[in-house]
Amino acid sequence: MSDRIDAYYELMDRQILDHDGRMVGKVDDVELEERDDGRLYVTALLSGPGALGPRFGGALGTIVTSTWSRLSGRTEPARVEWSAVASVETVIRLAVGRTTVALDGFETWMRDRVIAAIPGSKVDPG
Amino acid sequence: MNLPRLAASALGAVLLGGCVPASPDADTYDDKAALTLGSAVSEARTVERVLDTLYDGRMLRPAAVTQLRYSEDALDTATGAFTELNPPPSRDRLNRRTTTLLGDAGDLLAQARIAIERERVGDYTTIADDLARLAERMEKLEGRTR
Amino acid sequence: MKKLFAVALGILTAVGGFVDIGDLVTNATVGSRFGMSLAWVVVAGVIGIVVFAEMSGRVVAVSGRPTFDIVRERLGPRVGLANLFGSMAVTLLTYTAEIGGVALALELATSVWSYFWIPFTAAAIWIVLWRAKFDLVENTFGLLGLALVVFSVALWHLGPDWGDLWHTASTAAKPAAEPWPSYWYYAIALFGAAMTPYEVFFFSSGGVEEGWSEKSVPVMRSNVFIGFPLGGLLSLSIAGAAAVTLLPAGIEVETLSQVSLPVALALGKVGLAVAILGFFAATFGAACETGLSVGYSIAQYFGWQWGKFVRPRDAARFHAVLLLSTVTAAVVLLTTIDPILVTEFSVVFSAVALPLTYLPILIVANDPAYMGAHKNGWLANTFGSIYLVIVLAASLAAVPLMIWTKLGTT
Repeated sequence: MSDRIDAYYELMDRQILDHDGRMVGKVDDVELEERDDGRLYVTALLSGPGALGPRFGGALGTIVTSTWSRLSGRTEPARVEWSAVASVETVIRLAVGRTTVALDGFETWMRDRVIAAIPGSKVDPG
Repeated sequence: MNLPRLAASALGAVLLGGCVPASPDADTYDDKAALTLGSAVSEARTVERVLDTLYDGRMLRPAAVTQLRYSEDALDTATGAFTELNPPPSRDRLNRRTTTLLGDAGDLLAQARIAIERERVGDYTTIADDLARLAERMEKLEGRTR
Repeated sequence: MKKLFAVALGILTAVGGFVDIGDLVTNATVGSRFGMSLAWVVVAGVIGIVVFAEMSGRVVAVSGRPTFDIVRERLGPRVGLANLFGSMAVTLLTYTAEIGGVALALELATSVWSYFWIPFTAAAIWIVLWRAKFDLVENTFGLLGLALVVFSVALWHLGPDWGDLWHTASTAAKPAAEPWPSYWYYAIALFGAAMTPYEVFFFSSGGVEEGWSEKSVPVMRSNVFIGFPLGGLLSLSIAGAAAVTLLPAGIEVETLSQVSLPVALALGKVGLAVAILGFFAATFGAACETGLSVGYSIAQYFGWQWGKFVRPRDAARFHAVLLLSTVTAAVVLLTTIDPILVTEFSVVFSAVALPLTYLPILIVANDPAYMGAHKNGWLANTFGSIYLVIVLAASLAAVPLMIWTKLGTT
């Protein structure tokens, strides 16, 4: 991975895949930190409505963020530490599995409450 | 002009555009009569074809029954929309002739439906011929009115 | 030998899967009212879909990323969301029309009311989307859809004056009785029916479902360059059969049974039965494709796991979207709205949504970061740019013409 990165062009809105190639989410926002040398460092990737809402801006953004906040009971968006990122290509590949990053509260809820109830949800497609 | 008002007027324009006033002027009435006759011709000839192909053993009964249902319904709707209009005084004759022809068409379609339902194959060609003649008359009137 | 079989299967599936309810209804209506004078639109539409399907197929084969995945990256989240909204609304509308089409086909076969069939059809489609293997669905309905070749056979059998048909088509000779605004309205409707937006989402997502790679590009191209134009010939046959048998009789197509009437006239019961089978296969297949496309576009915008290549429980939100879309479509149809009317709206709004769909593809297909050496050459870009202008013009004119001609009824 190169030292300098154009966060907007190379990271924003990219698909995040875990180390099995499973789709985990999109880079909805990026967490930056200014360090002593005056430069900005990417410390984490932010994902989910908590991160996407603010980027919409305006009334829409407020609705998205507040709805998510109420349903998930959180105020901070889900984040993936930069250290978990294995490579930056046209997708962002993580070095870890999706359960480790735990980005997808909504997915888990939908799976457990709705999809798992329907027969055949565990059937392999192959 | 703010957005909600713009949307409301656009919607109004769309809805009104679809309405013909209950007492149209002569030209509008002519157009409406021609359109209605055109639709009636389409239904009459469709049913005529259905009866002919049924008679020749070239049609499947469920398809025939289905088309009859749609044709009767469409003719009914078109006739209803037309007879609701108040003709301008100069168009009384057109009104009478059109209404008569539409009524005849409705009758023939009902006869066709019953014949098919009762499988009275012998009646198919008679009704089909009647429909053909009626369609011709409606087409002539449509042509004169356009 | 096995390679040849795969190529042939791909082409045949593309032909049989080309026609959907929009094509069936619009081509027959146009044939019955305008003869072959709008044939040029079908040709233009087929060229357009070939150009953009090849582009989106190439994008997914080379980069592994389907179209909607990349839309957000290239257009940003706000524009991407507007794009998602528009595309998804049209695809959902088309999904509704296709399910209605299946119900109409069943009604034609049984004479039992179409509304009765809607719950069963929706349930059947959902079960297929839930359980059936992707390529099994594609191949089955694609091949069965070849039954629509019966329209070409019927046209041949009718022994029309080919010279006359050719003349009407090549000079775009509009019948005098039809007004020009209606002519152009139907031109746009026909264009929207041929260049359906969902086709591109489905085609590119299907590339991931089937595991395409760079090596898949030649086969993909044969499907597109040979299969789609042959599918276009089916569309023209439907219009031609109507032009030859219905136009002279003043019969205007408004029902699915009128679409099939020329086949009954030409080939009798057997031909009609084959046509009805073709209607069922085409609409059921298209329903599966549009249903999946609704799921693909939403999941790909938000980054959710999607696809039939994983277990349903591993793509929970995707499958929830499929379920919700199916229920929504069924509920809309159960309001007893005429499925033909839904179809007419879906083709017009497809034309409106086309720029939304095609602009991102053109942008991405030119991006060297994704495409490497496979990015667009001058040919693809020339055609792509010309079509972008056409598609924009059609999109802007669609709704005004629809209102002016009252959905083509005046």
